[in-house]
Amino acid sequence: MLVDFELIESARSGNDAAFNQVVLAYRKRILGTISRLIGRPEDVEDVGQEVFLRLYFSLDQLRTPEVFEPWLYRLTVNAAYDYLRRQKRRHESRMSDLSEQQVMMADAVAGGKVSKEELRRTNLKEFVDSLLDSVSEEDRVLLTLKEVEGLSLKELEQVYQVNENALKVRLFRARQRVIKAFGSLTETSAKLRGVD
Amino acid sequence: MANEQRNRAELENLELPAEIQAMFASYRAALPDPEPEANFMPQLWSRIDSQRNFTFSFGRLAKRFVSVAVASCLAMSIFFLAPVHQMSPAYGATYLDVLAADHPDDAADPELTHSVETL
Repeated sequence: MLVDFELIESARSGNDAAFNQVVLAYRKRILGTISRLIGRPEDVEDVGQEVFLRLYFSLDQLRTPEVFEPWLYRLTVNAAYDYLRRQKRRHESRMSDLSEQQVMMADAVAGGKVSKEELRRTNLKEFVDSLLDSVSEEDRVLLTLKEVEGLSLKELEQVYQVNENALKVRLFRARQRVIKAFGSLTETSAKLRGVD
Repeated sequence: MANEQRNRAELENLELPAEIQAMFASYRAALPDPEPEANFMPQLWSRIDSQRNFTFSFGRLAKRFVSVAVASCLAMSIFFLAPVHQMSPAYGATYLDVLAADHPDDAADPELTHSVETL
């Protein structure tokens, strides 16, 4: 826990200053999780504010301060789902954005403005984003929380509010699908490299 | 039984291949938690305020609507429960009284009275 239970209790009872402190303590971590969940740096702050907005108006429903963190993660996951669903509807414009980014990156590389390390990081990010884009939003979020954020099964049980077995089944299926997607994605990029 | 055990073991043991695990770890390292921008908190509070104002106005509107609805119900109850025969004699009179009132000449006609009596 990044803050005391008393502070959460105080925020829950309507103390705005206490709520402000809670946000200050958690915002960086939540923004980091969101950035890896949605993969769009320009929208991270907006989704982060949405999470804390929902937190503000639902804090009185929190049963005990002990479950605050999984509950905050749950709000984060829900806000990320909503964002990803909206994005899916705007998929075409997103594709054009991506290609624009790629063109900009290619220009920067050609101009020698980007280091090799930066280029490697960008490529890795793009590859993982495409990999996670090729599975459903549910799989994407679950895999990000488990494999990237490193949440334990116990923590995920609290976030998803399901029992261990149900969670294991979901995780098993999500892993199967991502392994399959990884295979076809690497095959496609290998083919593309062959063509180049 | 053996099948079930095998499925359970499969479920417990499915890990991602080392290659994908390493890729996710590098992805995590390549994307550190971003520093929030300076206007993060002011923007958040302005969103909270606007939502609060909206909720407050909506609440006030709902209260007003409820008051108007209660007042209308009361008015309608009074209107419908008021003694109706005072408004029009037709509501309190019998059918024959109303007929007699509508045709005062018929009642005075002795021939008609006689024929009704013989019936």
